[in-house]
Amino acid sequence: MEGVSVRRLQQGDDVAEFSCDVPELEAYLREYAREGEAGRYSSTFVAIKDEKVVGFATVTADMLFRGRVNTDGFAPHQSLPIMLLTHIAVETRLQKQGIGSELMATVLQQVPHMAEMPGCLGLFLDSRQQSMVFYEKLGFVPMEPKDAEYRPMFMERGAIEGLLEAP
Amino acid sequence: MQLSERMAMWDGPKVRFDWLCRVVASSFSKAVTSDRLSLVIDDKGEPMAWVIPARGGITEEVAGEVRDVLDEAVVTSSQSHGEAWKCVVEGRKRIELTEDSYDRLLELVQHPRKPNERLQALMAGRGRG
Repeated sequence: MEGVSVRRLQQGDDVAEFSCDVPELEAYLREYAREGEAGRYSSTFVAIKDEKVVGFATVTADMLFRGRVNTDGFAPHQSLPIMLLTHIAVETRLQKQGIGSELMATVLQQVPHMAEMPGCLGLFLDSRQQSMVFYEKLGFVPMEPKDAEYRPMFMERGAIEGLLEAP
Repeated sequence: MQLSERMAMWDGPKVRFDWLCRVVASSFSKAVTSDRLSLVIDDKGEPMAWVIPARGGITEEVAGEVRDVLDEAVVTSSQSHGEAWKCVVEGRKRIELTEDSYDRLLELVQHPRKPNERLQALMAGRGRG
């Protein structure tokens, strides 16, 4: 979208007026995203338009496990390092204009860095059912198990690295 | 050792109860706090319960420690805190895929698809890195 840039959240960014009609997401950005940045346990990227935050996406490192195996203990050979998209939201009045894709593009660009060290097999997220079409259009593959509200989705590192090459 | 004694000795991360509840209640994020136990404090800064990180990194030693204090924590909490504690414990579950999806994911990793053209065009237009 023209006039929109994406960069890392800064401590001085004014996010008080951000509104996406999902209170949990608004609260996360307002109250906790900066904590994650300061504590280095998550990274938040913000979309800026006219010097205002109009969208954000947060990622963190996580591990993926094969289900139904030794749920009480650790099975390191069954765990895979991934980047997890924990939050993404766009200002209500600007939704469906490409800002979400811009945020996703920025997030995906981080995967090869994490893959270089300490290791990352791809980007993982839990999609609301109504958002699945958006992620599928971007190339995410639906995974199981799903529940009534959410569906796990994944894009592998190789396909992400291909995105960074010239078309 | 009683929970209160354990709490008194705690010098690890402390997490505000309202913060924790909100993060756990958020259907998007199950991430959280530290790589070991955290201590939950209430609005007045008083210790209330212990929690474990929501996802991943839980060794058997830590799991055992949690099991040791879990009942005490529920008992010493009010009903609402007990409910929250349950949420926290449930929230620690790992991201688990079915075996079929796990295998599919490994297959994708080993044999990546061609990049998505729409995204590729978008990224080419905005520069790399």
